[in-house]
Amino acid sequence: MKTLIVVGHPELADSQTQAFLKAAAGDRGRRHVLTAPFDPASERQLLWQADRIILQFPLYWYNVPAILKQWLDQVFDDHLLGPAGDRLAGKELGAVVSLGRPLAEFGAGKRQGFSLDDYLRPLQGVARATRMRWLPPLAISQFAYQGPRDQAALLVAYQQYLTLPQPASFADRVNWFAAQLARQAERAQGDQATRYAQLRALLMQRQAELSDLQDNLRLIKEGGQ
Amino acid sequence: MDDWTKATIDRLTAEAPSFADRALLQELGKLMNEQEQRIAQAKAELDGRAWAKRKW
Repeated sequence: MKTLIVVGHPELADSQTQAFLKAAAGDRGRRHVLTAPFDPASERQLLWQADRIILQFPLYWYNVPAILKQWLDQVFDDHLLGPAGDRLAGKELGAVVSLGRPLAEFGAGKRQGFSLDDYLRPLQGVARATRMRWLPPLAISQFAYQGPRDQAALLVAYQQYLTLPQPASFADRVNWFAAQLARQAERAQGDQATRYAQLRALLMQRQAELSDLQDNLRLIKEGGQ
Repeated sequence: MDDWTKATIDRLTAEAPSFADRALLQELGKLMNEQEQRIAQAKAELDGRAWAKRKW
């Protein structure tokens, strides 16, 4: 799967969050930092080549930053969608949104008044009009205040957001971790490589056990027991 | 989580050169805990259904 990460940030060099995400992404997606003016032809090529398009930005006054809106306004047109209007159809559109307020404040009756989904409705509209599938957004809430364990969880959640099939079953998540462990085993040496490979083998063995149990349960349920 | 898995994850974490490696191991631990729980629940359900009193 080819993932395109479209970074729209007016002060990218000063953003700790974006530096963290850049390091976390590694080679898991093609990172495209928006800088005006845009060349619509090359922007279109990037979008056409991607299977999953991730818009990555800080929420400014409950909206996308100006650079991202400008890009949407200038690049998303009839040329991009093609004569049949289907050049983006079937792709996935997601958003990685950094928030200056706690995510818990978003929701009806809460301090920010509306949910994050409500605020992102215009982007969902873009996905709908271009026949892309909208992915549930990944919200990053007050990154600078997060401790190391939360940041570690965010790092993996972000990597999964870039590469894991959506919506993901438990088996999909297991397979994702198995692929990461295989990658680690290749990169590591000696005992470390062995331990990564052993963890992967154990993970897959237990998943096979779980799958067998679930098959047996299905049979019993189908049998009307 | 069983002792071997925990010790292996802990040791790899202690030796991990990067934050990304440690992050992967931390989240792997959570996933393996969840996997164990799912196996235990599936076994218990299978056991419960096998002993359904309607079958007696």
